[in-house]
Amino acid sequence: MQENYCKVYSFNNKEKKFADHRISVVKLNNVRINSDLVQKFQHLVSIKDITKEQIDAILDKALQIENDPKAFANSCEGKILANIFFEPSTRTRLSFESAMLRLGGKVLGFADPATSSVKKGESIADTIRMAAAYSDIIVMRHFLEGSGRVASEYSSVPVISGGTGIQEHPTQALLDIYTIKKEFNKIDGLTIGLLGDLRFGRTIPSLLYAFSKYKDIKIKLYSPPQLKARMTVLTDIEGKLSYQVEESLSDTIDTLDVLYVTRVQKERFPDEATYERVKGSYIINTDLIKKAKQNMIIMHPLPRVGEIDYKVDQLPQARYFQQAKNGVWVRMALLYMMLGD
Amino acid sequence: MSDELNTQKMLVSKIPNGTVIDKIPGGKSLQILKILGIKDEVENTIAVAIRVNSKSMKTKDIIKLKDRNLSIEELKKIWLIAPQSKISIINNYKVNEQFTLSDKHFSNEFEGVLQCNNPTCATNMNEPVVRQFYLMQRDPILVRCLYCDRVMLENNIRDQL
Repeated sequence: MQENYCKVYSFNNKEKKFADHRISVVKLNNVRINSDLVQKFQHLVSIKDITKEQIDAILDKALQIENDPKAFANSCEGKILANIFFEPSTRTRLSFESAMLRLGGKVLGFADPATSSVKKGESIADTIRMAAAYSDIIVMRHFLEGSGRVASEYSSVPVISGGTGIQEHPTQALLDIYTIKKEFNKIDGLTIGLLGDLRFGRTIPSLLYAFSKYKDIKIKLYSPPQLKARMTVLTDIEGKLSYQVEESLSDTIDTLDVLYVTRVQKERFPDEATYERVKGSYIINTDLIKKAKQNMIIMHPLPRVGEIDYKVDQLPQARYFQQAKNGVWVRMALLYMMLGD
Repeated sequence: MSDELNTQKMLVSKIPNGTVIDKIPGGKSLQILKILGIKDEVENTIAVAIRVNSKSMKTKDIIKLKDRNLSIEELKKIWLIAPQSKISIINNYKVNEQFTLSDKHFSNEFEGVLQCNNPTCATNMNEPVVRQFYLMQRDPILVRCLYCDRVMLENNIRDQL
């Protein structure tokens, strides 16, 4: 048993009351926060909405679930998840579905808005009100920025964003951090390279916002000039997270603990010609990885469209498939915690 | 009183009823006239003095609007570009109420007034939401949409006022 201090938040008549509580928690792979004692959050539409303590609590719960999934097999019995996806998805939608089923709950929803009244012009607000009437928790992916906040304002049940336009993808960031923490037993102090489409990739803002809650992380940004990280995002992390825009991955890959690769977002480009010009401007192959540290890990939110050569899959540094699998544990933790045990 | 100040006093004579907007930073009155929807055809008397001498501001603009009261929405828009403006509400040649816009405690987080300039912001679709923004910075103005996180620059905002 290890003693630790944790700031605990409690709500009483909507007033936040803060108190430092001394608690004892079991040390699990360096995850020290007792998830039952942190403030619950109603919705998750931005990683900015939750604290580091809440993130750590989610990771803690995910680890507990991964270590003993059977113990949680009936945790959400009688509960229904509405999975409503206005944009294509493989991992996010299926892993949320898998997560709910593994918790003993049920899933409804749509993966193609053409089959719903959205096709007739129904608003997000009305669609969400209906989904809330039929379920206990909603996961929504939408191509519009700000759609998550609209949904949370009109839902009577918790809303989790499965990605909103180019804005954010908070649950991807959570599972990414979970993957890194499992690998290194820490987040603080790591050097992390973000490569690829840093402008339109919605995972990038969520990741940077999440990293900014930790200590002494060094971020190195690698991207084609057209796809540099948005100024709004960089302004948000200014002073909270150390970052550097790098020119050459080959020259600096040996400094990285994590290489996080993202694909060029074809669907975000205004025209095909611009997309074609940028596509293929960076490819991770086995020769490049020879220059990296032995314990560096390669991550990718997937799908990949040529950024990582298939031969890299066999290297010990490849983590992207485990990363995707980790999504189930993290999303189980989220559903479990947001549905109130 | 110098001849110059006498001349200015004549230029901006008293109004019986209406609103005076004083201490407008020099040259910004035309923008405020745009906010108030004052174009080439007007019914009521309007006096506009541009870049008159001011002890505290070196130069300032003044607008006097006869028989016109400003709405909260209009005041918020003026507050965005000229927060130090002093508003006087005139009744029977007397100042009935006077305040500086920055003292009105308009929050940096505000509703309405603007439209997000991100074409893929959910607030620009058919959603029943009240747009919300955060004033990040003045000079130049930066305003952030609290729904989509898009930051609008001064020229984006000025076009809407």
